[in-house]
Amino acid sequence: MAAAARLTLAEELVLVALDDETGSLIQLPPLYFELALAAALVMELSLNGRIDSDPERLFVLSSAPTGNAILDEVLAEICSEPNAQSTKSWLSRLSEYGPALCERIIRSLVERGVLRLAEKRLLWVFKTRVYPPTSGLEEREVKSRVMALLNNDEIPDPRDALLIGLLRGTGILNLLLTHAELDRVRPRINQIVTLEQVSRELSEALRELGISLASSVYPAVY
Amino acid sequence: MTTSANYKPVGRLDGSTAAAHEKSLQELLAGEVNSIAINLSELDYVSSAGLRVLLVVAKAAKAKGGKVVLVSPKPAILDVLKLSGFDKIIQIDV
Repeated sequence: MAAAARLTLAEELVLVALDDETGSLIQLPPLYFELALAAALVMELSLNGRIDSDPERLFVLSSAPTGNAILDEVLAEICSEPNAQSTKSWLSRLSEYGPALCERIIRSLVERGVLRLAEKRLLWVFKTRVYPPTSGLEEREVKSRVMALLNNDEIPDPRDALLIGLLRGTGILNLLLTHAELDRVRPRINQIVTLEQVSRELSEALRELGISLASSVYPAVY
Repeated sequence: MTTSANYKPVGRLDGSTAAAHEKSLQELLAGEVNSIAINLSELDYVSSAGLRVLLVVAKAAKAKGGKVVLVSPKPAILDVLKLSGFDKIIQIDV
């Protein structure tokens, strides 16, 4: 099974979203990570030939299991929907499983030896679980791929293009690059993100979410 | 040196046909050919999976020192190609 041999996009997203020093997920605006995780699963199913999409709808190509339990549950849910829905609708719907999915993905990364489970005391009293990288090799490989792609003008591999879409959408890319680097490669980021429809839909969903969050904080402006 | 071939998908380039088209295009590139003119004049529909085939084959051609040129897409297909920014990385001859 291909998904077992390499990290899935969702696993790569979680890996990059974990702070190396604290072993905890970095702070992102509410629901950003959940939407990105949903997009990562949709992207993976698409790369695995189980679903396809166009600007109007997302549709099933094959209900055959991928062998990855999380992907197969998402695929089963998509298959169970009698009416084809837009990609953005699916991102919203699947994002509801975000926290539970994130926990499962972290557990699978621990089982595969990519992360380790550690306990940390919060305020010297409360125990909390954190997940520092075991060797950091996989995370470095992901970041190195991202940096290489942003710093050349090669035609991107679809998987890498999708990963850039996830990292840009969540804002994690901003944390990997300095301001100067970000300014320099911004046109390249935009070029890569535009290539993939799911990435464009994720950007749009996050933009709408951002407006919604801002309007709840500053209702008079919106 | 550029050695070109022509390819003409007809009808739909989507998840149900993408693998077969990709296989045919990669077979063209397996020999001396390093550039392919893909005639899109009879293509009616392209999905995300179909676009990925074009991207993967364009990448493979570039790696061989050649290129992919997309020729005569119908207006609706051209719209999708432009929406996806393909006109910025793959030559399109309208």
